[in-house]
Amino acid sequence: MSKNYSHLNLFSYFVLIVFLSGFTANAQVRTVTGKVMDAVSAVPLSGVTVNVIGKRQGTSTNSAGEYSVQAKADDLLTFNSVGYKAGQVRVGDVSVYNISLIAAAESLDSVVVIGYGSQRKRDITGSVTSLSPDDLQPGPAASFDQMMQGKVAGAQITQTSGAPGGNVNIVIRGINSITGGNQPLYVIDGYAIGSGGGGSDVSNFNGDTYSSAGMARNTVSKINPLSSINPADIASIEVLKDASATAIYGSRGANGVIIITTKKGRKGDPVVHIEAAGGFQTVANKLEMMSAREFAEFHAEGRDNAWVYAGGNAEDPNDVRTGGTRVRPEFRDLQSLHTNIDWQDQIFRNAPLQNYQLSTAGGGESVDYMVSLGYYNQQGIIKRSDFNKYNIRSNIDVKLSDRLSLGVSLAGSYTHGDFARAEGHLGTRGLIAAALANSPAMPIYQADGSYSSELLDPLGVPVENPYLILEEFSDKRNSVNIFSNNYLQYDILDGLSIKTSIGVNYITNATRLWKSSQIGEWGAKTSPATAGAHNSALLNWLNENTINYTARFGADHKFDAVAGFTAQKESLNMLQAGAMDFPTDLIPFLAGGNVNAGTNYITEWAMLSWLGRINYSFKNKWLLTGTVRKDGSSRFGVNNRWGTFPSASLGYRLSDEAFMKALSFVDELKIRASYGASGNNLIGNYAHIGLLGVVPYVGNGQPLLGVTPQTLANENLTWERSLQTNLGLDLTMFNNRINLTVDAYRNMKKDLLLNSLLPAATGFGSVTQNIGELENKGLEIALNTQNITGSFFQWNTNFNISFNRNKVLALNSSSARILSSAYQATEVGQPISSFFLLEAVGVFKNWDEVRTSALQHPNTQPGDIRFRDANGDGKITDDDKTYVGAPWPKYTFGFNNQLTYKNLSLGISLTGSYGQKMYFQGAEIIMNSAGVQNQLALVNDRWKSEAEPGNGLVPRAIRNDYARGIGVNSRYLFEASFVRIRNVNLAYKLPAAKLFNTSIPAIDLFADVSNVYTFTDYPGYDPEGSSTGDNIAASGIDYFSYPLPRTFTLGLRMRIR
Amino acid sequence: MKKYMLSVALSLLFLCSCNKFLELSPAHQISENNFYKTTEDFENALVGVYASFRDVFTREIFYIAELTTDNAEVSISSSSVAEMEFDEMNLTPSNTIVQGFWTKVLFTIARTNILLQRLENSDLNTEIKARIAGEARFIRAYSYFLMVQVFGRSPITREEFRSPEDIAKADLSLKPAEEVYEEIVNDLIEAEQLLVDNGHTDKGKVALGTVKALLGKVYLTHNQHADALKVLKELTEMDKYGLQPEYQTLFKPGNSNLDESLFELQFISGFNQGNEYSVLFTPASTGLLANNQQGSGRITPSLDLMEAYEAGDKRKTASVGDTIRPNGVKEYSRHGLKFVDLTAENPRDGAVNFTLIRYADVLLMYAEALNETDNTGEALKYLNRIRFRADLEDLEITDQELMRNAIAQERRIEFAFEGHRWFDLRRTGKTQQVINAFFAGKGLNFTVEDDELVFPIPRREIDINPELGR
Repeated sequence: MSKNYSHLNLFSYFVLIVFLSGFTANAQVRTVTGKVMDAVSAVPLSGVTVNVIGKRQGTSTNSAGEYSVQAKADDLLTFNSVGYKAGQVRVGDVSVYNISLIAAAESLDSVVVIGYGSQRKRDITGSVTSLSPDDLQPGPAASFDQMMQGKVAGAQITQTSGAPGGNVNIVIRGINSITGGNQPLYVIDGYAIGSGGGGSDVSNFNGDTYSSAGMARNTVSKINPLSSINPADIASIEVLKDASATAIYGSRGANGVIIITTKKGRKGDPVVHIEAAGGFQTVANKLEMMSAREFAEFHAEGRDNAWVYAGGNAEDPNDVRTGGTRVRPEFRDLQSLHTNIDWQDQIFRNAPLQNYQLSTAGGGESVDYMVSLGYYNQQGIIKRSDFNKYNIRSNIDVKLSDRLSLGVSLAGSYTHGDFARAEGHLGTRGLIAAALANSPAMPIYQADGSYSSELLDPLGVPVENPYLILEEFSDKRNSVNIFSNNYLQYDILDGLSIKTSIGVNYITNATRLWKSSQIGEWGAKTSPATAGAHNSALLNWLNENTINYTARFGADHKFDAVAGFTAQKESLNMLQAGAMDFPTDLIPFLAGGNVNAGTNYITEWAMLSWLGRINYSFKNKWLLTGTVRKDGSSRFGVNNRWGTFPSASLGYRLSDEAFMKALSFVDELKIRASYGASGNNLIGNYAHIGLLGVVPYVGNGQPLLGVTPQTLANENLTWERSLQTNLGLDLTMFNNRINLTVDAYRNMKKDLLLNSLLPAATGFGSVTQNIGELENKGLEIALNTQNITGSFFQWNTNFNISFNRNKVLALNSSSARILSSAYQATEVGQPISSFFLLEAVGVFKNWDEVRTSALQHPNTQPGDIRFRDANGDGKITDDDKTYVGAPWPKYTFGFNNQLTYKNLSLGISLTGSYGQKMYFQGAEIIMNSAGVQNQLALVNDRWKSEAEPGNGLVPRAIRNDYARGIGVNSRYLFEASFVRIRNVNLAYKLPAAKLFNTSIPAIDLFADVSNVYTFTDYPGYDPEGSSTGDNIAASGIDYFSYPLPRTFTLGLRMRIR
Repeated sequence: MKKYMLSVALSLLFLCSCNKFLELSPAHQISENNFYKTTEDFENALVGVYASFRDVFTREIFYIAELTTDNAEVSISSSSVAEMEFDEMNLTPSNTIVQGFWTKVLFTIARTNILLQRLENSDLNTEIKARIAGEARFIRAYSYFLMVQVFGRSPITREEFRSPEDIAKADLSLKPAEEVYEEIVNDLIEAEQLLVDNGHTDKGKVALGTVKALLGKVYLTHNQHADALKVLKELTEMDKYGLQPEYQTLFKPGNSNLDESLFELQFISGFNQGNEYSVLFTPASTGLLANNQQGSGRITPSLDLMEAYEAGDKRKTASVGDTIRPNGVKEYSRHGLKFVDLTAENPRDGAVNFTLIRYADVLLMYAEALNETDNTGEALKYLNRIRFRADLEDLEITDQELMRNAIAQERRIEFAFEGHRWFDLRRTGKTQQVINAFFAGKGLNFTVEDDELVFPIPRREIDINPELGR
């Protein structure tokens, strides 16, 4: 893996600290000079840290790779540069040393950021995956989470919507909670973010209740809140997976923790990074729909069959038929149809994408700095959707004295975008739904030039023209995110330091919605204009105070301890308003109408915590870590407000044992075991308080507000407790060419937060209680290999695979069944949110099959869907619903290849997922065989007669919903397993050169294709698409989610010093 | 410096006492701990109870009392499984509409319980206390009456639940009809004593007359005909209510505080407080509602009902229709018109009150009570008063059984699409006879079986408390 341009500054930063606190020596001091270069290309390396072991002084190489340092004969010089193995030389009598550094794929001495500190990778005893920018997907992306796909064993990362800036879900080690959230906790430079206050439940950005009559509603799309972090600023991402690693985050750690560390400056001349990339996106997968003639035939068949069902004759003319069974006259003559439109082509487009980054980093004796700017612009592949992002960051560290230092980190982002009404229900004018359902035989325009529509035509498809939807709605959103975190650190003694930090995160979100009077909802062609506004401001502050102690007793005992106290509070102020009665469509703002709805509220949480951790290492062989955190949270009842989360882990480095020396090919072998507790507090802010709410009513013709009890008090409410066991193994062999990490885990969730249903007679629908148990167990394997390490050609691969099994062990009663949607239920013995449906087992091919099967309906006929009589009572009722799969994969994997030939390199990344099911809710429209909306072309294979039974899976066309034919059943449930060529990246490195006396800096050119191809049997746009956004417990339902684009980009990166 | 740093850390730590820092409650919501204190609090809670009660009559009641019967049928092709179960009278415990009804009614009871219990423990002025308690007890009685009529039994609760532990201890089992009726009559007799005979100008509020009307109906349903006769007589002698001269004014916008009303559930448009009846009763087609809007034809009049009107009955055009004009072209499509606001900008926002009890009902109940107490001659007078308003000729009946049939027919027409039919059939014991004949007449092999006379206990409730299934 080539590591020329992107530097993991942090590594050297910590290496520096390690070396700074050292020994003293004595001898004659003289000047040692030399040059440092790359061992393969002989390119001079600048910015290499040169240190004299035991001395405080150090230097770094200049742009020609040269250094000069004061040292004595018995001194040891070290040469450290990120991306290279460290070099070392004993000074002796020579005064000039030219050093060649060897590029390192991954150094064992690398330092990994963990909560409240960092650790050498070799000393880690918990389960932690560390990613550097080079490990992330190349190519521009709106947010870093997309770039992590397929890179982390144990993390299932799904982009549920292809909308620009759209939602991404990360689930670490399986779904963990039914009622509580499932998002991991995000920690940015030590600051735990997220409006939830526990895991980062960052979902405060959706608009559901803002508009007057709820008409300008578009709840699905939202700006991914993590896109406020500029991916180009990231120095490393650490994913903490087991309790040993997460317990330090206590009641917020149970869903895993993702630590993001941003780049910092380091000593040396300023280095300027420039990156520019541009490209375009296309729709990756268009659905194959019926053609106009196929549709006409289907339409006539569906209505004829319905008329026959009602007692008529298929030859009867329209005027004797009832409304819904009449056939569009021109559809009787297929030859007469000349219009044939694929409406998808009318809403999709090729859309450009741009990304520009500029940053500079450097440092002097006492100040290090990193300043960056970024601009990202993505047009959506659906017309009128786009996303823009501006980022700015400065990270400044100042050494005030030998012992006192401070740091300031200030980051801001402004994002804004236009969200087309892409996703969403057909009835509320969802654009994708409308494009797919519309008649392919309908021309775009009427004779008078206006958009045609069959909405009110009793013979037509009751769907609005997609062009009108594009024009008459608007949904503009923006978000400002300001983040500042500042610390002061004092080194009391060598090895003992205290640190205090204060940080603030301020986020505003604003949404402006508009629906003109030219368009309506459901059956109404038009309805009065509405506008909505939705503004929120969130203020979160955090104070952390920690004390660190590092000590060594003799050669064998090493201690490292941290203890601290933290306080955090958040307040979200929400203001929503809606207006109606617009005299004109010219003012698409609240101001243009009569503001007649709105609400304003403030919701807060607060948290206090004590924390501590000890790392102890004996002879570098036995490694022990103990962690504890005590959290107090405003979210829980007075009886259970404080909780303690301990964990312990043990590592044993077998490779340091004498008996292992015989196996000289083993560089490192470590086994790890951990056990501990962490928690989940994602249940909203006031769940333990008995609340009353305001209800509207009418008194004497005037609106009147009443008060009604809404929630039941539960002063025993507390966090979910996750008891986690992890066994792991790290193996490095053949001089770092093979790196294997294996982890096996079992997470027992106790005190599951559950919206347990209450009998209606209590007056409350449910109460959040700590009842229930849940288990996730699994296995993760990550294998990094350097397959070929020639001097010209290198081939590295990274393969990871994760297996997880989820099972509910207990709920509030053995018979309890928690319905998470019309399709999913949770029950003891099943995975969370398993699909619970009538099981369709094909269609009845003939009368014999109808007669010999369980009674579905008195009028069941051949060609109708056939259901499995699950309870064997001879009839099909709702009691035959059965578990038919779950939305959780049995395993997921990532397979990444990097091939390098001289200056040319090729990266290919694959991701895959196996065993999960997806309910294609959109198929209730485009596969319903109702003879109304346009259908997927596969409906051409339907049952037509006993002689033409089709493929045995698609029922006959009939416009009638007797016998549960159209309703919810497993017919729309599909295997969503897939293998995706996630990314192909070709890069060429132009070395620095001189041309006509002008220095040309080193430039990397790259071409990148992402979302290249997906192998899947799923019939919708994308097997990862989900319409439930970040509600992970209800994932697995796809109602025409915004399709993931295929993106082509070209770009360059430049590094100037 | 070290000391300075430590003191910063410590001062932040102890700046505020830890537990106070963690005690947050929402300023925009009301916590039960600081409510139920002033008169205003209780007035607001009472409005909450009314709002909850109104919810029962927005949708489900029409499936239960009309769609099940010979009055109505589903006329759309995209009906839900639950709707088809009603149309075909084949209800299962999973029926979402039955579930909705169960929940709404029991929620109303629970909220009334909280109000009544808090009220008793309050130190409000006795007069106000009596009025609020009287109105609340009526609502609780009405709710239990619905439970017992629909499900044949009901859980009985009288107290507030304040924690999950309270609920775990509570007896929420189903009690037999006799116990439920006892509860209803107790509440109504109590309410009768609590409420004073006021002017009853605000028909959105329960008054003494409202209580007596319900008590009459409860007695009638419970075969206590003499008791019914007594209370209904008292009510007619109060001389506060009368018939509207024009039947149609009862169901159109502006139908507030009519002489004929004993209790109206109120709706207005423009504030998300309108009724949605046009969505239920009018077809999924334009040509009837304002603004080119469509209903969804979920519950539309049957041909049987259309043909049940006598020639010249003025009530027909005010109640049902069969012609719409999409794009100006005449089309046959049956629909209901009562409480439907044809002029509403949004079909889900109709400004017509739903009159829950009106004087015509009192008169016909009185006639029924008279007839059942062998006073058929006197009963005829009241029946003919109703017919007179509809422009129909007086009937001449002396036979008690014929009179029963005449009252039944009159009630069907007078109260079509007002949520009475199923309950009237049940009270008079004609449910299976009438509905099975209706299905047979349409050539459908659906029937109402003996065990279908009470509705199934919803699956959700049985899942939570398996004892309810037994």
